[in-house]
Amino acid sequence: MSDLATPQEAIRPGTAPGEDIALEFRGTADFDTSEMTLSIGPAHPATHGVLRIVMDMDGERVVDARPVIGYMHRGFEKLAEHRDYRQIMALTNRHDWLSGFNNELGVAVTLEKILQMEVPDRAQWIRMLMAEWGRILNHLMFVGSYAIELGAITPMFYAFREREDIQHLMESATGGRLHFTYNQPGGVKIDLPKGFLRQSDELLKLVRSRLPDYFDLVLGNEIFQARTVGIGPLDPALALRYGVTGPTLQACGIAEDSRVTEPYLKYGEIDVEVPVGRNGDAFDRFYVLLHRIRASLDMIEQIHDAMPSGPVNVKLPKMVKAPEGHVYGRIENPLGQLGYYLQSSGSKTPWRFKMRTPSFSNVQVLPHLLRGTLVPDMVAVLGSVFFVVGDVDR
Amino acid sequence: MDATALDQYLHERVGDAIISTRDQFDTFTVEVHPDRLVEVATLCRDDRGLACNMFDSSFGVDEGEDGFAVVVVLYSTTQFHRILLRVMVPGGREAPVAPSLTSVYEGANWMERETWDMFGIEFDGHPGLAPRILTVENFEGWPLRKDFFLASREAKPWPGLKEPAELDEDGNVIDKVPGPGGAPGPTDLDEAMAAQARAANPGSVLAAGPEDTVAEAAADDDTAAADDDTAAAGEES
Amino acid sequence: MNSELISLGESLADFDNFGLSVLVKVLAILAVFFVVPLVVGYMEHKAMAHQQSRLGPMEAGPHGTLQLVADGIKFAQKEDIIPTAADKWVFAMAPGVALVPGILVFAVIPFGPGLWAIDLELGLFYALAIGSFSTLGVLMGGWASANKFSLIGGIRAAAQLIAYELPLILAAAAVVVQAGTMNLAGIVGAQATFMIEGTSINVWYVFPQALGFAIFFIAAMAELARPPFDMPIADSELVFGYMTEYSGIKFAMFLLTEYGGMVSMSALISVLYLGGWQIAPGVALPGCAGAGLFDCGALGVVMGLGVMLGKIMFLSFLMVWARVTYPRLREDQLQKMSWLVLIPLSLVNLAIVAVGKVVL
Repeated sequence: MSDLATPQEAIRPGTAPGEDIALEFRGTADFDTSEMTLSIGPAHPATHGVLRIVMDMDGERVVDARPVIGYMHRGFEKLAEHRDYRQIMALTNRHDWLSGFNNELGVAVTLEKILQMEVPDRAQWIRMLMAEWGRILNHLMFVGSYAIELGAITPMFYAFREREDIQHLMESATGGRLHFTYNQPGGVKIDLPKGFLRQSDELLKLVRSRLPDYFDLVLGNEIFQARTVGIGPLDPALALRYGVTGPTLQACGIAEDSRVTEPYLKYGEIDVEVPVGRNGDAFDRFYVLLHRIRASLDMIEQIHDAMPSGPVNVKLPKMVKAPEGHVYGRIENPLGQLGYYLQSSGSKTPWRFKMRTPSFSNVQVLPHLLRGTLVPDMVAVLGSVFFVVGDVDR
Repeated sequence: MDATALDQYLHERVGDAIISTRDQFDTFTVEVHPDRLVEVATLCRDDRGLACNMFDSSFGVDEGEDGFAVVVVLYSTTQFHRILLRVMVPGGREAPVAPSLTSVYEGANWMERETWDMFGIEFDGHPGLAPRILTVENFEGWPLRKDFFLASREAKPWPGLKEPAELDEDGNVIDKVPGPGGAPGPTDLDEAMAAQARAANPGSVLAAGPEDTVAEAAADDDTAAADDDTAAAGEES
Repeated sequence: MNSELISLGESLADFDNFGLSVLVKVLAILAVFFVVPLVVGYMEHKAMAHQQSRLGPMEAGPHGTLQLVADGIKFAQKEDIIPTAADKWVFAMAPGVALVPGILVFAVIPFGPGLWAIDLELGLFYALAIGSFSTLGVLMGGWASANKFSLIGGIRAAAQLIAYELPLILAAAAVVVQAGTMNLAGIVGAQATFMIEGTSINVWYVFPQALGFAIFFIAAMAELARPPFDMPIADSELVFGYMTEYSGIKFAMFLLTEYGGMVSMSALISVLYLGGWQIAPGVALPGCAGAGLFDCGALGVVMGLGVMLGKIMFLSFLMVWARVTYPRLREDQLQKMSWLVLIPLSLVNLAIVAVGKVVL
């Protein structure tokens, strides 16, 4: 923590337009090497979006790394104070665009807590189905991007092939491929189209049949293992103190998953498997990711079997108003724990709407992981700590 | 531990630091004295019964004239309970200074930087709040304060290069001071556009009047009876 | 005893008029250099695409066959951007320094019976030595770009290319020991007369020197900075390594160096291990004297050329396949693999071949 203890001076935004490096040569006394300060980003193929990491380097070794965030800050929390609750659900689709459905689900769950609303069973199960497909969408994306950062260009295309099929399926019910806006307080907007469950079942079989390719092509690849085993290990107690959640935390061996520890929707009624890793290194994080996809597929199968019939939403007043008070609702986003703190003064817009996003905490732990690694390992570590920059900055 | 057990447990140990507790909507909140916050947080982390090993988040809330509040969310992965610690930040709205939790949980570092960036609350004991974490380094103002008006229609001047329309004849920036109540609500823009459309097309069906759906949607205090009427009229809710 | 010196035919382009000879040879080399790498490039586009569940280029020409021609025209008309802080002369010369040796290698490579430019006694030595000259161009590009990412890429390239020269040369040395000559056409001839001890079964050198073949292939991929050895480029870390700041024709020259290198290395591998232009071990080309390989008629020449090109395409396909399948090795793992694995193995290979040559 010593480097965080020194106040950071304003980062020089660069020397010339478009130049994102600030050259600084400082010789050390013992060896005649010189350190240089390299800025990865904000636009760089390895970062998932506009994240900037300023690294002090000695040759190819990283001495210190300081993430600079805020390039995508859009003022979501301020906007939320001026929007009513339905508009907020459409808004929250967009901070973590890879898990759109789960974000709105979080708002819906939080709202239903404070409104103390009873949600119809069928709506709960539909939400779970969509949430799990959305989780697979997110994880597939990270499988592809992690592999491509290490130089394996093929898994990305396979992952996107699967994603296209899943997005097509979700579009048939919700009308959106990325931003679904399917939830509303008390249920979902509209029932599933005819034949949806059958299509979902076929897609389930298809994705299941293609999953072994990822295990063989990536996880079992010796070069992949050589690049990721032992790289960027994360201590579980430290991770918890930073607030790291999701696959990154589960890879450290801690089975903390909201679907199991604080079940929402109907997760208490199905078998939820939470894969954990052992060492918390980059390989384990990827391992957990792949196994979470498999676990989600198993859950989808259970949801298919258990889907009841019935209404899918409740009648809502024209303006949904939350009673006075505050509530903290939390769900399991694909990237980790997503929490919403809602403080209401009884009107139709919230007084304070705080989004506790998983990526913010995941990125905060990066300096610990990056210190002492080589540049190629830096890329492996960055890819393995799953985050979306929109989620970090909101 | 459930909420009542937590309440009792905490009162037994740090009862004098607690101002009030609340358990509502499945959320257990403890309001503590600002100068005892670090002590209570340390207790939550180290005590075997509380075992709050996970630092969830910390953020600020603008409480109007009373000043600001800082809420800290802690969670235990072994006991499966969540505690919200809430303090009213001393110093009011002019110079709010809150105690920093970075010595207890490392994750508080960025969270407190964000709270400072958004509200202007300084944190005593934080290693380094500057530079501003989410906004630009030279940003003026504290965005999440209630007196910082949403920039959508009543634009705060862009700190960079000015457009010709924003400059008066001498080349100075025209200062637009937003008045109270200037921030538009969710349907105000629709209302304004509908009014504009009505004014531009007199005598058309747009100039209908009170049945206008937008105007009705902005009406306050809907009751169930009113809902049924409007629902019957085929409006979307 | 298995390798009698075959009398080598003269090159088909050796006319009485020396000037005409040189002209024809230069044009032929340029023609080969500008056509075969483009075909290999197209094959790479399509093979990669089909393995990745997509189609690849489909627009330019039928099924995208003219894609690389279109790319060439595109590069020719692009703006040539030179960074302000770049060392102008070094920056401008680097692609040339990388490309020209790549073309010069083609002077000794035999593409079929009589289809070579020069029949050097030290053909293999010349090919390997000139080929390693491109490293200088890579270093120049990395340094002169005034870009930290390029610098890192250039330094990685230098370390990698130096490290993998040794296994390459040692593996090739084993072939030279077995063939008894460094002349490339002579090596092809030697393979045609190589029988397994005690039998009259003719095999190519890939059979007794499978280890050497693997080492040479891996080292060749590393020399070309092809994935999984593309740390110098490493597009997810270094944007594009030493080529980041290049645009237009200069960039096209670097790319051509890479594809041209693929062709020349594949050709070398075919010559050294896969029997050159021999269709199959023990099968003579029609109309050829001299162990079925030299002094051929027109049909023999065409077939020999076709066989060589087929082998080049096959080996290039293997390189593309490796690219699609594997992530890239980290620089230190790469170096370890060379110094601690490939070099000892290639020394063992050389020892076995030398002992076998003496004993058998």
